[in-house]
Amino acid sequence: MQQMLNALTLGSLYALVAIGFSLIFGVIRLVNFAHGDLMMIGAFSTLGLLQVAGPLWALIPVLVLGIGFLTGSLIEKVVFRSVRNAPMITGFVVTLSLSVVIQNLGQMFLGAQPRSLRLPEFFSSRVEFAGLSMPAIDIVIPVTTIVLAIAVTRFVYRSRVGAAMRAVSENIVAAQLMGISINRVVMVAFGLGSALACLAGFFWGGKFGQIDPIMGLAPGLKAFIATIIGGVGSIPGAILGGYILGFAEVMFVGFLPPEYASFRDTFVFGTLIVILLIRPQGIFGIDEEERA
Amino acid sequence: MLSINNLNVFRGKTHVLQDVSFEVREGEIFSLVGSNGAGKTTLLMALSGIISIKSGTAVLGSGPDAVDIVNSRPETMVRAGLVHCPEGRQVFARMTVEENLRLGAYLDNNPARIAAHMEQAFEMFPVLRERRATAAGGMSGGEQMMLALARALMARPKILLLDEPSLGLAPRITEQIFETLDDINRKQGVTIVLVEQNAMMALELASRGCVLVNGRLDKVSDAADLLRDPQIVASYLGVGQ
Repeated sequence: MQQMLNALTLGSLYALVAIGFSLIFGVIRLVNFAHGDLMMIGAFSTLGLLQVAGPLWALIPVLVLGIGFLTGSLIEKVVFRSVRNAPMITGFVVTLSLSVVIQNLGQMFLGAQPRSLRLPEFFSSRVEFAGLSMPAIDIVIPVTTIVLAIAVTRFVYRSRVGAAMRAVSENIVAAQLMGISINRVVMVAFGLGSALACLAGFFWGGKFGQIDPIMGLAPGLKAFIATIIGGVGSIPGAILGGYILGFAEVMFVGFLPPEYASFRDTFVFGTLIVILLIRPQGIFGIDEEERA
Repeated sequence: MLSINNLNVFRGKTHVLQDVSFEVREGEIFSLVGSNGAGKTTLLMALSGIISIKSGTAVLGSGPDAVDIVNSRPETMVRAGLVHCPEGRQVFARMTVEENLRLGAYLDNNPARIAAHMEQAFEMFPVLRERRATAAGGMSGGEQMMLALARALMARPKILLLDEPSLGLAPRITEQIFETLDDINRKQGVTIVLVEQNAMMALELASRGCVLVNGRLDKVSDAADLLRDPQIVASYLGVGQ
């Protein structure tokens, strides 16, 4: 039971990051390898905000979302806009380089040593639920993730701007002919995705208690994989992929003999390969015709 | 309505349009005739702001409301009343008919007006009402053409650029589309620039037209004159087969 809860928490964090991957890839077909580093930015923003927030700590997650939105849209404007029409491989290399730059800048200015991050007591207070006792953060993470996942899905499938995002995703020229501003749609996708990744950084730091400038690397990679499992560009797919990965990881640790547990990624990634062999386009993926 | 002067447009390194000049008058149907690769589609893409213009001028309207097309983004052109219904229809295949129509009215933020315009679209093409909740990609070519046209009209264009509406359609459907175009032009006063491989049909519908040859303007004239021009008859009207 405790394992299920861990899986749910971990899966939620992957899902939060994966949604952003999917949003960004959906609109501009860019695999953003710097996306995981937004988690680090979110975590260090939390560290800074904790020093000044005092009794207003409940505002921190909201501020972290805001910081994420601004950082994401700024990165897009400064770095990615000029390579938007470049070959896909160029965009890929640029995001990879940006990731290295962010991590190294982090090490230069924030120090390479891990820092401890302690969220206010509320998050560690024990909650009794269904005969289990758990820290509040283990409830807060899945609940927040599910609420945000529903909100983002509704935004993409019901709102006017969401329809514009899907239109750009399908046919960029036709979307422009409708009067949709590509720059604005791309900015919203980056901002929204980055906001969620920053919040994931807040939760990640809060749950595991330690943050460092390269903390975004591993979860970023896993969230990317979650996106692929779910079907690239599909928001529900990204969410499902995040949970599948979270559960797979925790279950393999739980059921494997201890001497194999530290090699859990072998089994997790093995499962991934099997899923993709059966369904190459991912679970919710669509066979994509070349976009106009 | 639309004045184009010495327009030069490149695609990559290819000089596609060379010193093209002509004028489209308010309320007319203007037909662009030319063989494949003559630059007709490129011209429409340049006018709607998708492809950038290298040199020359292109102005929509006149007086204080005139819009400089050369430095405008596509959304500016749509807002100014120039709407482009592209070649191959380009409906959003994964989205429903209704969503496609709503996207046509993307820059309109008055829900009541959008609903009224959608009702008119359904009256014009009743099949779209039946297919309202269907994904556009699952419809036939003719239905997709109707959707593409209805979607373009949702933006309430003053001038409609139409690229190959008859492409791949059954003659009966093509006729229906052309009748609708005639209606839109007469009853709603929409100016139409028509690119059409079926030059005969296009020139019969149009009041004026021009001929593009290898990116250069060959002739601009009344449609009736073009239909009588022996060289045009031989090259584009397929007479004598």
